[in-house]
Amino acid sequence: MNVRQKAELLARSLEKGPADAFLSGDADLRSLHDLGQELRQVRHPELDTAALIAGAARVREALWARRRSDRAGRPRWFVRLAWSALALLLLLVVTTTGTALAAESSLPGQPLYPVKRASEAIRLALTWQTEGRAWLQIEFAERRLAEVAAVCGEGECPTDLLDDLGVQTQEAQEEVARLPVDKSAALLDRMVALTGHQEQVLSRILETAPDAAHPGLERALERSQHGHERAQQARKKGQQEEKGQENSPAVPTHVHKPTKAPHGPPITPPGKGSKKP
Amino acid sequence: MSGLDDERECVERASRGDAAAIGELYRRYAPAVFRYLFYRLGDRQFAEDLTSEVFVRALEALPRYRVRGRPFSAWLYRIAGARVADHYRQRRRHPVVPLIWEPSARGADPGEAVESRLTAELLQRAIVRLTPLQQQVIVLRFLEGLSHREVAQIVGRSEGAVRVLQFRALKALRRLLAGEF
Repeated sequence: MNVRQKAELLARSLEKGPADAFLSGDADLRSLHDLGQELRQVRHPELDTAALIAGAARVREALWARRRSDRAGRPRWFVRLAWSALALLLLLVVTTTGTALAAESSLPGQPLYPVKRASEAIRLALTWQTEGRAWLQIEFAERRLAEVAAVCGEGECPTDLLDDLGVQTQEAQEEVARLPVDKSAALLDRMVALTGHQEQVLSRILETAPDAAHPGLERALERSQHGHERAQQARKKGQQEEKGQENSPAVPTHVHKPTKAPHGPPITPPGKGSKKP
Repeated sequence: MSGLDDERECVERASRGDAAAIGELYRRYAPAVFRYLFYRLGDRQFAEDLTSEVFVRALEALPRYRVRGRPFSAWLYRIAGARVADHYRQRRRHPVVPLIWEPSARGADPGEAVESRLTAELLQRAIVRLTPLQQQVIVLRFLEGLSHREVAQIVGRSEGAVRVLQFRALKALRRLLAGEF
């Protein structure tokens, strides 16, 4: 018998038995048959109850993870990538925020002052709404004033610093001017307060500042006074417009109302109230 | 409803993410998968860990599983076999576990020696020395009680090839157990 024939015979004896009918006279096959039968009698190790429970918990956890993943509707690599990016961003924010916070109280000439200005530029760049930008510009103008007060109070008053104050204040005013009347009232109030405070601070510094600093301070003071006047005018104009809107009666749309030119008499449409030559 | 139909329904529910059905499949097949892994790996703790891993893998692959008349266990054994192969591949070689065999058994009749001394531990130590295919045939045929056809489906060979594998595996096992290696 070749190997295949022996294998077939052994298989039949193992499946159907009894062995003697197939294996009579072949001690080798009989021995293999007995080994096979013996293998079936071996008492097998059982999976511990604790291991069974632990395994079930693991499978259940995998099922929940799959459900979460399905709900998210995104492939797992994306989720992993998103978590990695979030962790990196968090790390970046924590480290940069720490530095930025430390830089908040820095003054011109100090190592962290450029960080403070860069942080302001980023905040401004990330603010898209005009109203938000106006509030930020005013806040930055207040900061420049505090810096001027701190630095110039020490005796020296660099021209750059005063110029920065003027530029920042002007930018704040321009940003506020872009807003409609109904949204700019609070900002104009703040602007008036800011420029009024500027005048007071600069006047106080001027009294004690060395002569060399006077020209720069006086120019700054003039700009500040001018800004204060503009802010007051804008606020007054806004208040009048608001009042006018409240008091004016409803105008029928079919009646043509004379329009007032920016710098001239009311413009009357031809044929309505005008005499022909 | 027959056992196979019941199993089919359970598998279909499990593939839709039914937790109860998945739990039922785990309870039903985890002990058998564990035995298979234990005999092939020779490490109880590792076999326990890998048992749950087989089910986790099965859970991930279930949406792609198609019932084709084969028992679900055949699919699980295939996954378990792949995990064992991965394990051996990672180790680069088969583990060499010294077989403790009493000197008095040497030279004795192989059949008698087996009959008197065969325990799960000893058997396991001999099985890990077989070739991977022989291991699968011995474990699935004699320890799990599967038919030649079922084993053939799991190992991906013909029934005739499985019978020849069985013959050679038993011869190798007898030699190992008799301490002739």
